[in-house]
Amino acid sequence: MKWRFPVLGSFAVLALCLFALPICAQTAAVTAKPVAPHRYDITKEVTLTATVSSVVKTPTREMNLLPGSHLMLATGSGKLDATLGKYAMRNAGVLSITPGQQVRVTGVVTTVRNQQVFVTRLVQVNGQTYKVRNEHGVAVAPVSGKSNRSAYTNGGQL
Amino acid sequence: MKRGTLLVVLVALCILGNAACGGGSIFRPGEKSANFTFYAIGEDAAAPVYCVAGVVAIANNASKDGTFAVTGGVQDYNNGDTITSPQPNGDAITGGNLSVGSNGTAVLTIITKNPAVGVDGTETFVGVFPNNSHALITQFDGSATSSGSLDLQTSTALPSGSFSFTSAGAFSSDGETFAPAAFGGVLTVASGAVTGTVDTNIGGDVNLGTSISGVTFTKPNKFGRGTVNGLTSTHSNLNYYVVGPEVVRFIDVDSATFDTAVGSAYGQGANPNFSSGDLGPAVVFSFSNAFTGYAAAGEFFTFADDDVSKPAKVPVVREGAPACSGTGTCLFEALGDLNELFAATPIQLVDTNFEGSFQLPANGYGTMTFEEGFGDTANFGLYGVDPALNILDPNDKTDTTGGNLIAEMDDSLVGTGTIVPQTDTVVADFSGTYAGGGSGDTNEGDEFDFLTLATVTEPDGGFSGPVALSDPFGAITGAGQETVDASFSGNAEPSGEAGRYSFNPLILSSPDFEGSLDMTVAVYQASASQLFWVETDPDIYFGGSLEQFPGSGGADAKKAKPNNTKWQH
Repeated sequence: MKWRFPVLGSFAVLALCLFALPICAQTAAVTAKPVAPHRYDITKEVTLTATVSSVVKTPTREMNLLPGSHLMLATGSGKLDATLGKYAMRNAGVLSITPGQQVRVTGVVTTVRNQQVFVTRLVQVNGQTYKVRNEHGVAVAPVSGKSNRSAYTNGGQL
Repeated sequence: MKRGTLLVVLVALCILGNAACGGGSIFRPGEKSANFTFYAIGEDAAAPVYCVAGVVAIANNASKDGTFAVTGGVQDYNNGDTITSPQPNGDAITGGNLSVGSNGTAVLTIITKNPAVGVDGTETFVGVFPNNSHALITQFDGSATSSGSLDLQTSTALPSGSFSFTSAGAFSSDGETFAPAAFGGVLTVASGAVTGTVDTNIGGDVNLGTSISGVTFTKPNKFGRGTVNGLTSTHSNLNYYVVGPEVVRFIDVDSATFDTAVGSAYGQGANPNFSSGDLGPAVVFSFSNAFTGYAAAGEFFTFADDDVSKPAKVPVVREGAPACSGTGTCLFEALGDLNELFAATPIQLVDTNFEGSFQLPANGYGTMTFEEGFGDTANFGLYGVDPALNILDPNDKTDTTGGNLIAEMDDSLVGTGTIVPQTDTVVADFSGTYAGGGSGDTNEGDEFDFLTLATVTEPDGGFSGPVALSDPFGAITGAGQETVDASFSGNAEPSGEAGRYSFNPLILSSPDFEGSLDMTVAVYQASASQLFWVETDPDIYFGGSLEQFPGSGGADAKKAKPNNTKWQH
C-alpha cells in the first residue's frame, strides 16, 4: 500500500514516519514471477545468543522490514534481523524486551527480499521461553485468559 | 437504462429502502417478523480470532423511527480464550434494530444478555443488502472486527441429507498458544445421525480423511439452533444454526478448551453423484485466513489428463484440450494473485500462472493440488456443493450456483475458501451496483474489515462508492476507528487473461484520516453477479467478494445514477 497525502501535509507525513506509525508501511517491488516455496524447515534451525540492539514492534516503510515485530540483534558476526511474526508483541506485556537485553533465539536463517533474516520460532529471555511460531513456522498467538496460569511463558514445557 | 431494468432497480430500492418507500413489510410479507441467520469471524480485543453465529428475528414492519425492531433471537460468541457464550443456552437476543438505507446499506444493532460481548452486551454490525434476503456484515462497535453474512432463514427443521462443509478458526493444541485452524469434509445426516469424513489442519498439523461417526444433531429449537453431540476429539462442542434446508452454519462453543471456529455446511443435492467434470471448463477460486495472514484469488481452466504434453502457459489453455470428465484426476492451468503477508517468508504474487490437478469423486470428497509456483500453496481438500446452490448467497438460486468448498491442507498455510463456476468474463457485464466486502491485515499485525457499496461503470471500469471501514485496532488508521465515511475510487481494468481485472491503484480515502491509501488489487470475475478480489501489496492484504445488486448491471449500467454515494441507514 502507499499513502498519498495533500501537499500541505508533507510535514505531517514526515512526523508520522518519524514516530513510526503503521500508516508509513514499507513499499517494495511486488514479485511477478513464480517463486519456489520457502517453507519453514525445522531441520535447519539454529540457536544463538545475542544482545538486542533495538526492538521494532511495527516496521515503517523506511525500515524495509518484513511485517510484524522484530528484534535487531547484535551478534558476533554482525547485525541480525530476527523477525517475530504477527503476534509476539500484539498485546502489551506479552513479550517485553528492551534494548541491551541478552536473548537466546531459535529459528532459521533465510533470505527474503534480498535480505538475510532470522525467522524466529522461540525467544528465551529472563529465564522464560516464548513460542512465537510453531514447528511449521506458522505464527502462533498466546492464550491469555480463562485461567490464572501464565502458560505462554512457562518455557520449560516448550 | 432500459425501462425494464429501471423498474427492477426501483423495486429493489423500494424493497430495501423503507425510508424511501414510506415503510411496509420488506423481508417476509404477511408475517410479523423474519428470522435471519448470521455468522462472522474476525479479531476481538482479547483474542486473535473470535467467531459469532446466531439467529436474529427482525420485525417485518418499520417502527415510527423508520428502523426495524429486533424482536428476539439467540447467538453464540466464542473467542476461544476470554469469552464463550454460556452453554447450553447461548446469548439471548433481547432487542436492537435494523436500519436500512434506500441504497441497501444498513446498521444492525443486537442487544444481548451477555455483557461480555460487544459494548456491554450490545453488538453493532454494518451491512450491505444486495437483495432483501442477504447481507454482507462486519462488526462495527470497536470491540471487534469481522466479516460474515446475514441470510434470511427459510427453515428451522433438523438438517437432513448430504453436505459439504468447511470451517476456520483458532485452536490451541498445547493450551499455551493459538494456531490457525481449518476444517473441511463431507457428512450425511439421517434422522439426526451424522456420518462423514473430515480433513483438519491445525497450525500446519494436517490430518486427512478422519471418519465421523457416533455424532448426532439435536432437534433444533424455534430459532433453528441445535447442538452437535458425540464428537470425540477434545474440541467437541459445536452448535448449529439452520439457514435453510441445504445450508447450516456451525460454531465451536467450547468453554473448557482454547478453541474457536465457525463455518458452513452446504447441501450436495438430493442424490449426490459428483465428478471431476462437474467443475466445468473454468472456475474462479478464492481462499484466505486472517489468522494466517494471507489471501488469494484466481481462475483456472480444466482439461482431461490425457498424458499429452502439458500446454504452454500462454495462452493459458491449450487449444483443443479435451474436457475434464469422470471422477478421475483432471488438470488445470491457472492464473492467480496471492499475498502471503504473514507467512514465515512473505511473498506477493501478481497475475501469476501455475498448474495443478484435482479429482472429485461421486461423494463430493475430493482433492486439489497446486504445482509449484503459487507461493507455498499446494494441497487442498475439495468438497462438492449442490449445483443449484449459491455459496455466497444461499437464498439466491438465480445465478452463480454450484461450486466447491476448499480447505488448505498445507503445513505452512491454513485457510478456507470457495471455487465457483466462471460463466461470464464479458467486461461490460462487470458493471452496476455491487455489495463488496473484505478482510485483511497490514504489517501492523491486526485485522481490518470493510464493506462497500460500489458502482462500476463501463467501458472505463470506473469503480467508486462509500466504504464502511472497521479498523478498531489501527491496522490501517494507526489510531483505530470505525467510519462509514470512507470511500473507494479507481478503475478496474482488464488485464491478463479474460476474467481478471486490476486496480492500480484502488484508492481508499476518508475525511476521518489524512491522506489516501493506494492499494494494488486484482479482481476475478466468475459472473456478472459474483467476483472475488485480493490485495497484493507487501505491507497490506485483503481478500473478499463482490456481489451484484440484481438488475443493476448490464451494458446500460454506465447511465445509472444509483443513490450510493453515502452510507445510509
